[in-house]
Order: sequence, then C-alpha cells, then structure tokens
Amino acid sequence: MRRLPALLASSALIITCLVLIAMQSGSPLLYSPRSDAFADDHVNTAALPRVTGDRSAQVLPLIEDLLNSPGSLVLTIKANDYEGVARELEEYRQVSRNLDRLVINLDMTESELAEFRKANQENLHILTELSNGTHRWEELKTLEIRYRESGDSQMLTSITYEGESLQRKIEDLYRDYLDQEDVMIRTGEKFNADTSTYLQSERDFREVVSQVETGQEERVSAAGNGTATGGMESRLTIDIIDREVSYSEFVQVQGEIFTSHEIRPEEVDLFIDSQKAGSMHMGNNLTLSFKHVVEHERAGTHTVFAVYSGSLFSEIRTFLVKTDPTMLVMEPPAHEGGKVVMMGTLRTDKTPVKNAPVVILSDGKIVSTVSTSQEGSFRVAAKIPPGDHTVKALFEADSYPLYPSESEEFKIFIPEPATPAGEEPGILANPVHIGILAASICVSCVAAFFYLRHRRPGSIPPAPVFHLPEIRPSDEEISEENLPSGSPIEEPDRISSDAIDPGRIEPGRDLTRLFSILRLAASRKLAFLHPGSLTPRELCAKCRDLAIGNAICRFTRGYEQAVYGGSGVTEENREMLLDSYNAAMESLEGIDH
Amino acid sequence: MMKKHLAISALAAWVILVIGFMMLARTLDLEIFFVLWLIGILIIVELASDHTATPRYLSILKMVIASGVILFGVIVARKIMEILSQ
Repeated sequence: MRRLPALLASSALIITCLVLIAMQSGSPLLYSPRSDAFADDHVNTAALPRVTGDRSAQVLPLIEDLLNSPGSLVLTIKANDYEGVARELEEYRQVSRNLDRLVINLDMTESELAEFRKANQENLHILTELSNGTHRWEELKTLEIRYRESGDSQMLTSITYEGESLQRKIEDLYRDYLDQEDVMIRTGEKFNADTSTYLQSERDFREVVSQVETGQEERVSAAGNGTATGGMESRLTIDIIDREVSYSEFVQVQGEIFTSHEIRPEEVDLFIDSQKAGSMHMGNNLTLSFKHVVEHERAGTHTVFAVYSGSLFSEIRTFLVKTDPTMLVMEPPAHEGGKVVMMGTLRTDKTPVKNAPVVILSDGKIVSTVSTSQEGSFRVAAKIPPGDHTVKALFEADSYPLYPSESEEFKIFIPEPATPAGEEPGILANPVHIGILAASICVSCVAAFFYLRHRRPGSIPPAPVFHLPEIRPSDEEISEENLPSGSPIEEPDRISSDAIDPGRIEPGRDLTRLFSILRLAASRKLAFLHPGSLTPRELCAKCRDLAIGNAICRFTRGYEQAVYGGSGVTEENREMLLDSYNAAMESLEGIDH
Repeated sequence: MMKKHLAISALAAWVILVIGFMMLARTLDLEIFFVLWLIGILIIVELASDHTATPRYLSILKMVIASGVILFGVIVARKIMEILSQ
C-alpha cells in the first residue's frame, strides 16, 4: 500500500528534474530582460526602465552610504585613529563593490553611471592615499623628536624633505578630492540624498591639509634653512630645467657641488618624492645632470632633492606633471582561426603610450587584456562566443598621468561553429589530445571495472554452492545459474555446512555462510530467480506460504537479530538457528522425495 | 519504506537540490550536474548495498555508475583538451 505513493512521489520528482533540465536546454526560458538586469557587469539598457521603479528603494541607501563614508573616514583620519581608518576603508571598499553590482539598476544614463562609478573609485583611492600619507606623517613626527633629542641633523634634514614631499602629495590629494565634488553631489541630489556629510568631509580634509602645512612650516623653521651641509664650505645645489612636464617627457635636473675636500664627487643620489630615482653624474663641464622619464608618476606636484654621501643635502625643487589626453584607436575586428582579432594604437597628442594595459570589452564584459608595444600598438586574438556582440577597447590610465580613453564600438557577429560543440576541428587532430582522450578513457574503464569487482573490507566471501547429497547439478546447470554479478561460483561441495562447528557459530562469517547455503538451496528447489539478490526478509516472504516457510522465517529472524541487530549468537539463539536451519534443509530435501 | 524506494527518493531529492542551487547561482551546467549526480548515486548505492545480498536493482545501478565513470573520464579529457587549446 505504501509502495504506490512512494512511486508516485518519486516519479513526480524525476519529472520535475527532467522539466528543469529541459528548461536549461531551452535557455531562453531562463533569460529575460529582467533577469538579465541582475547579471553581474551586464549592461542591458532595454531592461533598465522596467526595473528602475521597484529597485530605487534599495539603491537609495547605497547612494547615501557612498556619500557618507568619505565624511566619516576623513574624520577618523583627522583623529589619527589608524585602526578605525583601516576598518572604515574596508567598509567603504565593500560598499563600492556593492555599487558595482547594483548600479545597473539605477535610473541613470550610461555616461552618468560611468562618471559616478569613476568618481567613487577615485575617492576611494584618494582616501586610501590620504590614510597612508597621514600615517607616515605621524611616524615622521615621532622620528623627528627622536633625532632632535639625539642631535642627528642629517636625519632631521632627511625627515624635513620627506615631510615636504608628503605635504605636496596631500595637497594634491585634496585638489583631486574637490574635483569629485560635482559628480558626487549631483548624483546625491538626483536621489534626494543628504549631501551635507560629503560637504563636511571636504572641510575636514582641508583641516587635515592645514595641519600638515603648519607642521611642515614648523619643522622647516626648526631645521634652519632646510639644507643641512656636511661642512661650512660644502654646498649642493640643483635646478630643474623644465618645471612642467607631460607623459614621456624628461625631467632634466642639473646641479653643482662644492666641497671642502680635494676629492671631486662623481655621483650624487637624486630623490623624487623621497624615493631614490637614480644618481647624478659629473659631466665634463663640472656640473651634475640627471634625466628622468615621466611614465608612471601621478599628475600633480613632485619634489626633488639630491644627497651626497648621506650628509650633504640640496634644497628641495618641485616639478609639475600635467595630465594629457589619450586617443585609443581600434581597427574593425577581424575573424581569424576561430578567434576575433582586434588591433589598434594608444597614443597621446605627441607620443605613443608604451607598455600600457588595454582592456578589450565585449558587451561590457572583459574578454582580454593586452599591453601596448613600444610603438603604442596592440593586437589581441580573443575567443568570443557565437552571436551578436559589441566590442570596444578601453584604457583606464590608473597609474599614468593620462586621461582614460576608449575606442569606437564595433558590432560583430560570431557565427556558430560548423561542427557540433566539443568536436572542434583541430582538437582531435592533435596527437597529444588523442593521447589524453585515450588515456582518460582507459583509466576510467579500469576504474569502472574495479568498481564493479570491488568488495568492501570485511565483507563476506562469495556465496557458496551447496547441493543436497542426492542431487548434484551438472556443470551446465551451474553455468546457467543466474547468480548476481561479481559472485564467482566456487568448487561445488568444497564449502558446506559440515565445515561449520555448531558449537562455535560466529555471527559474521559462519551465520552468513549458513544463510547463503540455505538461500541457494531454497532458490534451486523452488526455482527462484537471482538467488544472490534475495535478502533474508525477501527469502522469508517468498517461502512464507510453503511448508518450509516457518523454519526459514525463524532462521532469517534469528539471523537478522544476530547479524544486523548486533545481538550476537547466544546459547539459546544458536540452538534455535541450527534447529531452524536443519529443519529447513530437511524440508527442502523432502521436496525432492 | 523499502530500501529501494528510499534510494530513489534520496537520489531525486539530491538531484532537485543540485538543480535548485544551480538555478539560484544562475550557473546551470550539464557537466557539473552530471558529476554531482554521479557522486550522489555512488553514495546512495554504497549505502544501500548489503553484505550478503545484492538486489537486482542495485546490480543495474552499479552498471549505470560504471558507465557514468567512463563518461566522467571523457568529460575530464575534454576539459583538459579545452585548457590545452586555449
């Protein structure tokens, strides 16, 4: 009675599985503009209007978080709570990541979206740099006290110079932060979000900059004129030829050194933004010179100073790196060997951009990243799935004094491959691939064979064949026996119940052997199919209506208790088992007569 | 409930669970589905097996699993070839 509902329930579950798999096969059923709008990084402008209304309630808190996070962060930086800063920066990053996932649902045009995302990323970068800069600033203050107490004027000068560099960097960061105001405030007002926290963060940022400026002025005045020298007659001066430079231009530094020593110095170390940039060499005209190519410097003011022998410092000079626009030109994509080949060039007004990363986007998703050559050109062959796609190239200019740029968009159609999926021409033409396929199939065949043949550790050996003394089947009959797979027939009569000591029946091995003998004998006499597949309960059920049923069922009950129930073979149980076994075997013998 | 019905129900529940999670993750993949189904049926058959008796349906299921293992080998080979051809 219970079988039918179970079968019905199982059938229903299997049918549901098949329906779901069929839905997967007909993938358009699972693909709709609405679901498409939730896919990561997938831009479907047609889907936007449908999802705008009901998503705005979820988006508004995110916008508010993005406007409030910088305010709270700047305040924490101002309070010099660096553990708090690290925690809040991580939270800010998390919120920004949420923006990347949810921003598709905003009621914004694509350009507004890109602007807002860019401004937010820029703010995150600025505040991370501000956090690092102020942290270093505090360290310099501690070091300054220590060196002042020890009277180490060389290290004090070094700290003063690094402080100068940090000050200019923080001032640049402030200017960059102000540049983001327009986009951030406009977006906030569009969603009626409170923008006062963001505006307050700008004032707090200004205070941080003022603190740094004041601290640096005090430090410079305490250090005298800012240039410590190794001796009264020694002097090191530097000058920058062109103080405003762009990408790929040279910062040309020239200097002079006068020392009281007779030995003329050959090399003087030059530092840009407190990092050693190289060495200035003495030329024939007794002046030092150094050329530095601007490539990865951020746009803004940078500091330069020179140090000789760790003790003679030059004055600090500055130069300005300007941001140049870039042009990314991509040629129409071409098909080549099953891939889409895209090539183009990246350059500024004057020069190619070398070794710069260019991202190839297909329908807004990154399909490849390539670096430009020394001539600013790039070529990439990307594998794009069949169908209609829009591709373009993008230069993000993260670490360059350059504006980002993107190429013209191209619509391409990738045809379905001529051969079915998985049988691409060329795959099986490769001998290595054939070898891999053959090896894999061989290994899996061997694994399948051993799986079918394996026996669990501690399992019972194959069921023995027992024959009553008078009846011994012919070899043909034995071979026709429908035994389960994996149960080889052993020598008939080699294993019999006589080998079992009735006084020492063990529940694992001996009892199972008795059961196997009984099952096989019953199956043979009563013409049961597949004797090896009968469980004790099934054997009992099949024999219940027969004369031998009582004895067999008694035996199987005791067998189940001893083997499955774990009760073991007690004295009383043993008697009962042997009695019922003998009774059943005698009855089976009686059937023949 | 009989062991056979328990095994069928458990396998169906496992398959439904796998498909459900795949749909939630929006990554319906027949190869992954096949591998997870194979793992499920392997575990269920091992749990349902007996020391003394191997019911007919379990013998058939074991043959199905052996075929699945061979198919799994083909899938692995295809994946390796895809990676090598990239």
